[in-house]
Amino acid sequence: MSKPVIEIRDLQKSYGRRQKAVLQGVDLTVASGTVMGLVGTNGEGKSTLIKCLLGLLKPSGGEIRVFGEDPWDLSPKNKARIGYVPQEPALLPWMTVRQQLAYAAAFFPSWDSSFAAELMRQFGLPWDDRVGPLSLGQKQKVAIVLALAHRPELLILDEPVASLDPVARRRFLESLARMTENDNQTILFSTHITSDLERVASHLAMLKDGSIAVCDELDHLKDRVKRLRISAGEDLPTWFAIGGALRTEVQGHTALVAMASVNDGLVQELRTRWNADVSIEDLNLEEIFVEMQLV
Amino acid sequence: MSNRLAVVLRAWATRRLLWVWLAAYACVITSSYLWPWTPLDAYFECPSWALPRGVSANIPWRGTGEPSVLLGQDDRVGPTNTRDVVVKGPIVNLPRFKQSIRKYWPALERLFVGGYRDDPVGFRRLCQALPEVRVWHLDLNAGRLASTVFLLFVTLLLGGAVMQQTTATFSLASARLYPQFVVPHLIPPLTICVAGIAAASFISSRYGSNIWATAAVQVFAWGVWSALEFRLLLV
Repeated sequence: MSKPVIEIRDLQKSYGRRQKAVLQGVDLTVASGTVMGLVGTNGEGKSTLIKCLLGLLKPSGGEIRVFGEDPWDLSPKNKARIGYVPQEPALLPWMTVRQQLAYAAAFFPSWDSSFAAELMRQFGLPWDDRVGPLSLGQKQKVAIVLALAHRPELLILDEPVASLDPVARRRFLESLARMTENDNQTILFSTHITSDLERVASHLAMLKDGSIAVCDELDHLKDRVKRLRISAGEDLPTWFAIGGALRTEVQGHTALVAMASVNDGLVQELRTRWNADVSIEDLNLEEIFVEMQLV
Repeated sequence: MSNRLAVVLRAWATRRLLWVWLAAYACVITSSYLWPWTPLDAYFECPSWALPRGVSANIPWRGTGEPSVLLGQDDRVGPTNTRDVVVKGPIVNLPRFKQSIRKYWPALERLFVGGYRDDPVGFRRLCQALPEVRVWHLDLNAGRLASTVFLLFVTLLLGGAVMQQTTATFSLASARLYPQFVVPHLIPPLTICVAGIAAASFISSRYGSNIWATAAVQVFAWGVWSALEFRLLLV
């Protein structure tokens, strides 16, 4: 396994006077060259996790290492290796796009002006318009250019495409895909749009109840999580259940059972015991996400 | 470093509202230099309409006389229960004046004096010599008062402008994420602070006013807050 870029151990974060716990013991390791998708329902703490990772929030407990350092005191050298696209673009509204790019470029030694210009062209952004009056989608595009143009080794994306139009979204994903051709490129990609993750992610981490419920290779996860369609010879009882099932839905003599893993022995047993025709269905990432969340 | 400082300075220079505030501050600083206000101390005068009614002694100062003369044409007047006294003209012999107060006005609470327009040290000395009496300057300089209020207001505006500008940069995630962000972003607000203090101190040294020191402290306080608030905002 490659050297980990991100290591999180027992991360905890609470907010407010009542210390409402958002993260309750998150463990996650992201190796170099990994494109890790981060999913979870609203309020599960994806943004909080990312902000702790970037040193924007101080954790209540646990340990984080980014490039081997505590992100709260990250060295300038390692800061220059990180790109971040926030959920809401935070820019200097009185400056023009050109000035904004020049401003960011001055801080990053590895800034690639030609790549920035290419992204600007791809996104159709105006160079000399002020940032303030731009639409939310355009601001997000500027934020993406700012995050990508210094060719960071670690790219952290917090819902980056939520406000992009389909064309911009596609171009952004293409840029990501090109970047992932570089073995050193590590991406942590938080999004609700699971189809985007399926296009670029190699791994998936799912936040649930303040901790990582699932962390696996995406292909492995899709190979593992299946849905059994059971058509029995007679009506199935209401108590029908299979050990290890994520969710079971019984209707007459048919049952749909989402399984975290399926083996041939189980299928054979179901066929024999219930005189059933059992078929194994693949699930896409969205269906896996829903099944996992409903457990 | 020079490249980073250049873009930070441009980030400040492109903020149009900041120039408006800076111009306002420059106007006040310039006017205070070219048009100094007198008297030259920081005390506030009591306006004539604020003088207490029924003042029982209003004795004109005759220039070179002794306190006995000051206290009345007739030095044989006995003690009275006067609480408020208005005196025009500086008091020359302060020890003798104190003796006379004890003798003739033992119940004195407030003293309104004139003649200290250009002698702030003498006025202070008088105040210190009569700790049990509240001493007011007699003449109101409305222009000076208005200028002082305006100065404080404008200083506040400049501090607000500096604070707003630093907030705009330091409150963003880039303040934590961009390498070597802090130093070039601290230079402009701290420079403005130092320039503000220097300007106020220069004018203060020439014309003398504690108000200027107050203004300088304000500039400094706003600047420090602006420079450090990103620490407070993030935790």
